Amino acid sequence: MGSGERVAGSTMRMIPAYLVGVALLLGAGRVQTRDGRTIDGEVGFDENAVVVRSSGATKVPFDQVARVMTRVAETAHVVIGRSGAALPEGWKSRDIGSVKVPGAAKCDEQGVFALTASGWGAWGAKDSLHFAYRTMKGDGQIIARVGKLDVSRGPVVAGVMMRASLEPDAAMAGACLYPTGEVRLPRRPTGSQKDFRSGDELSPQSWVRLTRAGETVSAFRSADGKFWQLVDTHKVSMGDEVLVGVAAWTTGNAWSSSATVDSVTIVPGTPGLTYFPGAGETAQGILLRDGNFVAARIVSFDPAVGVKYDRDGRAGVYATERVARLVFSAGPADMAGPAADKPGILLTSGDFIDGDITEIATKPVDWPRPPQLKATARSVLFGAKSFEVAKEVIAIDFGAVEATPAAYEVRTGDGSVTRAKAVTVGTGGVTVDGQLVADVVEIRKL
Amino acid sequence: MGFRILIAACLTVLLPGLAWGADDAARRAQLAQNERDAARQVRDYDAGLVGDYFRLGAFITDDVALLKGATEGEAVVHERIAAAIERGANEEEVKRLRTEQEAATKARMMYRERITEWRSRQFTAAPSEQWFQEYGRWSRAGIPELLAWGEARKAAAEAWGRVAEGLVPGYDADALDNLKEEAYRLDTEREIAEMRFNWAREREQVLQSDKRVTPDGELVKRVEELKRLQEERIKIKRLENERQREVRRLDRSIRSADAAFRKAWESAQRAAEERARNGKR
Repeated sequence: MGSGERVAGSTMRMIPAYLVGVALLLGAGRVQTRDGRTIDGEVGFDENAVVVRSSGATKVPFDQVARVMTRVAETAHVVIGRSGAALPEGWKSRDIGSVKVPGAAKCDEQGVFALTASGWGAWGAKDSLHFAYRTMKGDGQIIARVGKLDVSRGPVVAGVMMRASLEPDAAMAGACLYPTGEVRLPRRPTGSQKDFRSGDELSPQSWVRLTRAGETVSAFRSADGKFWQLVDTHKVSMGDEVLVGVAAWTTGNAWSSSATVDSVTIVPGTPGLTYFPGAGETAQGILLRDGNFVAARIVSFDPAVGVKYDRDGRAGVYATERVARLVFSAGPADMAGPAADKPGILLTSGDFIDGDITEIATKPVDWPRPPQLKATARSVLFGAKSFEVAKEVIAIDFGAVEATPAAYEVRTGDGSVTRAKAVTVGTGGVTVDGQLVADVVEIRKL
Repeated sequence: MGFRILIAACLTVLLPGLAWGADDAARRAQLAQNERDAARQVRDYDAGLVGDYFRLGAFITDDVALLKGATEGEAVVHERIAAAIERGANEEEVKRLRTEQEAATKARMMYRERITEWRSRQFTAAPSEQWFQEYGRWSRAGIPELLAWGEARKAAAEAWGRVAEGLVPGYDADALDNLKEEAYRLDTEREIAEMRFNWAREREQVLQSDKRVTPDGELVKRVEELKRLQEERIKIKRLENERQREVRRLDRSIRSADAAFRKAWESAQRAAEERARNGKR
């Protein structure tokens, strides 16, 4: 398509790239038009138009835009094998440390990793195990389901892992399923760990998830791959680029066993407490009854005072009657908003605890951890129950949203969402209901 | 039970000639029954052994299969001897079967030794993640020593495993002895690592029991003296293994010399018999 050529069925135009120089370019993004087209490229704003530059440049009149995103994060990568290849593109596998029997890994076109492994495991001074991996930069998470641990020849452990290197004494962390059915977080540097639990104490959990946010690694378990329970969290410094993948080992380095791991998904970007496919990144904040969302750190709640928050170092308070939901992590699509007149706490386990919210405050937790934010709900049936927000809570509901009429939703880089009647774009930026708004990452026509 | 098997084996080795000479059907039936009893006892005995060593778990999965094969191999030869006796087979055939049975017994005993002796040691030396976590929880002060102990346990367990797997039909005795000596050495290092861990933990427990105490010159001096003596003890531990190694080497030489002596005696006896036969002529 040459420059200036008309795009069939629309008034969008390909324009010479040098003309784009006048536009305010914002970065890798995506434009969806009202007639259903999607154009990816470097997105910028021109007078009453959105410009997308990839090989050429496309100018879309703003009144034809259904949705524009100026920052598109790398999407979740679901791992599947390639026909005729043992492992997916970009993946390798090898034994780590001294193993009795050489291990192997292959991945089929359904994304099922078949691992055979030997080794002592991921503990102590040096690891010995089998690891299939690729690289990942920065924060991210890996999710998988351990399909089968074949214990017919002896115990075997399998799960997901991140490592600083392939050296046996490298910093590492894992979320791994043990033969008893327990999901644990092996890690190096080593340190005190939770007690091992016996099989009869555990309910079946075959999904594992390992997240990395800075130096904090967290292991989660799940029965369905949707709702996650935090297993453990620790500090592990691994550098910016890590090796991420699936790992398996036996427990005695005297035999070889096999395991299958499927549904392997690598999600770049800073992880939340939860992960729901397609839910995107959710900032912590306050969903107001008028439908606006204010990204902020929740400090406390007292029914008499309201919700206290901190936004970029500025403290504020919202009266209780203005608040519909406090959001701490991404939730499932079918629970995107609070139910009408049903206050309570939505937990990462998927349970919803009915009851009036009586308090959110920083309180002591088990030693030696510092005090943490806890939310308390009181119901007639169960009395008062408290939950540690950072470990267990997706959202806290106060009341239903009664959204004010709006033509647009505008999302900014901090995760706040503003409902607006009028939005204009230009080389000077984005104006929302007459006010210039900086750091706009998404505009959606309602 | 082992003694009963031995008696049955002796009877079947020593008595066939007498039985044949007497042409005694009842006697043959008894001898055949003895063989069948031996077959049953071999099977029962090794089944019991597998039960006794069940705790070794996955460390012996392959060995149990091999032992079962060897056990069945021996039991079948006992049954073939019984059948041969019953049908009045000649002495040569029974002797040939007996040689076969002795080889089968040797193979079975080898796999038994794998489990009862070397896998057992491997299992004892082998650490587990659970062990590591439990010790790590209440001995944070001794973490470097615990890490070293864990690695020493792994190395010793792997060495005992190599000894167990060196016991294969037709194994090279010298090569196996070398594997054993390496395992004994690494097992000594395992014990030393445990001693070091315990000493470090005990020292640190005292030193950290009162945070107000600051390590002054006298305290540092006493700790250094304690460590020096503990290192002396470790030197002796290694010397003990060296001494034991010498004992084992001598024992092997004695066994070898004893075998040579017996072989020479048998040669001499055969020569004397030959002379006696020639003299009678």
